[in-house]
Amino acid sequence: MSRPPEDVLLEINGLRTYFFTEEGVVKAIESVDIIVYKSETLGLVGESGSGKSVTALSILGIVPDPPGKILDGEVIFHGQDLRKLSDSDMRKIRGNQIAMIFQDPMTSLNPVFTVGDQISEAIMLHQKVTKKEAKEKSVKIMSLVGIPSADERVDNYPFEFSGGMRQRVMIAMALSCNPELLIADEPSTSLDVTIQAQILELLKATSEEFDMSIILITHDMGVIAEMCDRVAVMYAGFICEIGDIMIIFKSPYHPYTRGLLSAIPRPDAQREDLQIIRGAIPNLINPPSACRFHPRCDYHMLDLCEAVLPELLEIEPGHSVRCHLYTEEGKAWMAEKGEKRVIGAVTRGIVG
Amino acid sequence: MSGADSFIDKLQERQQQKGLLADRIRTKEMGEDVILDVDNLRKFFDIPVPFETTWFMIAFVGAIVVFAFEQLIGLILVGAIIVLYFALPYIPPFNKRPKVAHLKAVDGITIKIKKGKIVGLVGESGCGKSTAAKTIIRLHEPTSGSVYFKGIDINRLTSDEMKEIRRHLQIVFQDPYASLNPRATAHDIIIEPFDIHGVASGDEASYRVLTLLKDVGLAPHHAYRYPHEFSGGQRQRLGIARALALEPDFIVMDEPVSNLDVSVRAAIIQLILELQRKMGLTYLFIAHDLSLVKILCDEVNVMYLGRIMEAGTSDEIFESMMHPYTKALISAVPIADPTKRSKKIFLTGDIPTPINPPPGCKFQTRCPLVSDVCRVDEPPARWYSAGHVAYCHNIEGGHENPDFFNQ
Repeated sequence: MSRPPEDVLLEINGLRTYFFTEEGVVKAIESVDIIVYKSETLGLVGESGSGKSVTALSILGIVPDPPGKILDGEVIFHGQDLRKLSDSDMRKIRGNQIAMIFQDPMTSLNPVFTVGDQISEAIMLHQKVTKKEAKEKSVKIMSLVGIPSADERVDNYPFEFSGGMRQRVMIAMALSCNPELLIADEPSTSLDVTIQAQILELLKATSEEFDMSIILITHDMGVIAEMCDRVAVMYAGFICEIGDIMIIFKSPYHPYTRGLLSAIPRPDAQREDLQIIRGAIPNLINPPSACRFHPRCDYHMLDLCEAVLPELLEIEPGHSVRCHLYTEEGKAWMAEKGEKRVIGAVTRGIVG
Repeated sequence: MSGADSFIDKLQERQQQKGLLADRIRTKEMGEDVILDVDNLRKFFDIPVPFETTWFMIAFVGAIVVFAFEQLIGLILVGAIIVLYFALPYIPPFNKRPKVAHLKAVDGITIKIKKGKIVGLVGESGCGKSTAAKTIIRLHEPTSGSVYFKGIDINRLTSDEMKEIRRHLQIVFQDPYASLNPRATAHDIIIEPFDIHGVASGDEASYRVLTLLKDVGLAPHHAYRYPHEFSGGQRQRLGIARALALEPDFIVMDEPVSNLDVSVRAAIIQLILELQRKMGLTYLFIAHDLSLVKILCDEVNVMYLGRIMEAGTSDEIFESMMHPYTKALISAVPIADPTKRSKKIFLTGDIPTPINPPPGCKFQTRCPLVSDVCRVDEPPARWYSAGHVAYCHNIEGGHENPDFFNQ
């Protein structure tokens, strides 16, 4: 399901972000290509250390520098490359057209200012309004995100809110300037399931109301299934697979996506159905060559997967996979060597 | 040498001879019986006493007397204040001071864990799951109530007897890094229970450490590594190996996989299940990931604010739950299947503080079915099968007596 080019809101091509640390160069993002369409929710899923959050920071141009540096790639938002914008132009977009919410609302709210001050600050920064109008707007947006008696709560400090309410404040702040794109980095991970359901529902409702696109970063396949229209699976700095959620959950193509989906309890699963992905996520200072998943892969094709990086190949409209199982080289290799392909995987059995 | 000096020399000599600390001496002087002390001595030998010294001494002693007297009054005052401070709260009309608050973390729960089963304990954070589990293995002393392990009331045991029983009751914690001593190697960590209980020592103990490492999927060369050198999953394996060291019967798994990544989580779950099959272990499995509890546990207890709301087999809880809280909790779990986006039940209202919970049902402030009776009476147990019980005023069916199903 591919949508026309005029529907594209954000396009990321060949993004590469490294961190130059004392221990060595952490190759956090090697190649990320994502398209976000207007008013859709795109899930970004992967294990910790797969580069999900760094992708988000790279989009907004707030990778901590030093040690981080975006080396390559373009981030095209509304036809303009955000990486080429000046700092002051970027600041006009950040928080205004692209907003972000973080996993831990307590660390991203300032403890010594009232939440009203903090929401008003964002409004006044991007819109020409008086302080009073900004506060009125804060109250309005706080009641919109479901904070009861918002006109009183606007003068409270962050510590006076519960975890779920704090996350609502963060969402209120992000929504205050009517962004076209909201990047939600694990917005519900630290919350209880009952509160998580409320926050996700709120995000869903506001995205429809404001006609807003969301990039939802999470490691929870359940959240992805509940929330998203499309999903991008990340592993060690690469997008492995990206496509419509119905297709990915029904018939995943990439071995890593398959592994992820069989490692979680599905609705009708039995104890025996839980599968393991062998090994652990690699150290990104010295990552495996070519396809970084090959040491853990059940379909590892000896001397191909570790030598040649597979292309991100569109196998059907709107569904792309980066794996040699579907490339011409891979097919040629298999025709030639056949069943030998799994030997490498078995001998490398490592316990996670 | 003056008379006084020779006398003092005599005095010291006497002291040394008799081993006494004499400061006076009785002597006959010009036919008169005279007791000599230092002052008389001075008179006797006509040494003038300095005038200032005498008056100074009088002033000094006088000052001490006055000071002591003042101190006494002060002491009496301070004493009175202290007595009043403690007594006032009990004397009307000052006795309205609130008493020490009690946080009822676990407030009257009953759980039966059958041998060889995996029993789940689920609920939101702060509902008392971990406190309940720690009380079960007597890491906390209960305020009241008892825990029977193999028919023995473990809360009545002395510390020596408890040490013996503790071999059979183990726990695996949520955060493997926080629960492992960072300055001990894996070998030291696992061998510690052997030392404490005197089960094995020397080569035999080391051999058993290596066997345990193998059992939990670690390699022998991991034995001399420190916790920081392990990955999260490996650390949890180490925590499990330590729990297994004394061949326990019962292990509390306090959110053992919550901190782990998805792929590692599956591996640890497989290990936990495999060990249970191999060693016939019984688990109390605490988790907030309900989709995991569903496939893992034989029986599930749902807790809210220190109380059990509903208990039953896994199928009963997940397929035919009765309690409105269980329904809301389970509907809130995201299902990893986009074709099955479920209708959520959203709980409104605030969680009451466990320090002063409202009378009646604990869930009343958020319950969609709440009625007047919930605010007054505690909900009765209603049984829906021999093992399936729910505590709610406003649900249909069920029987008041579980024996109904045994006939």
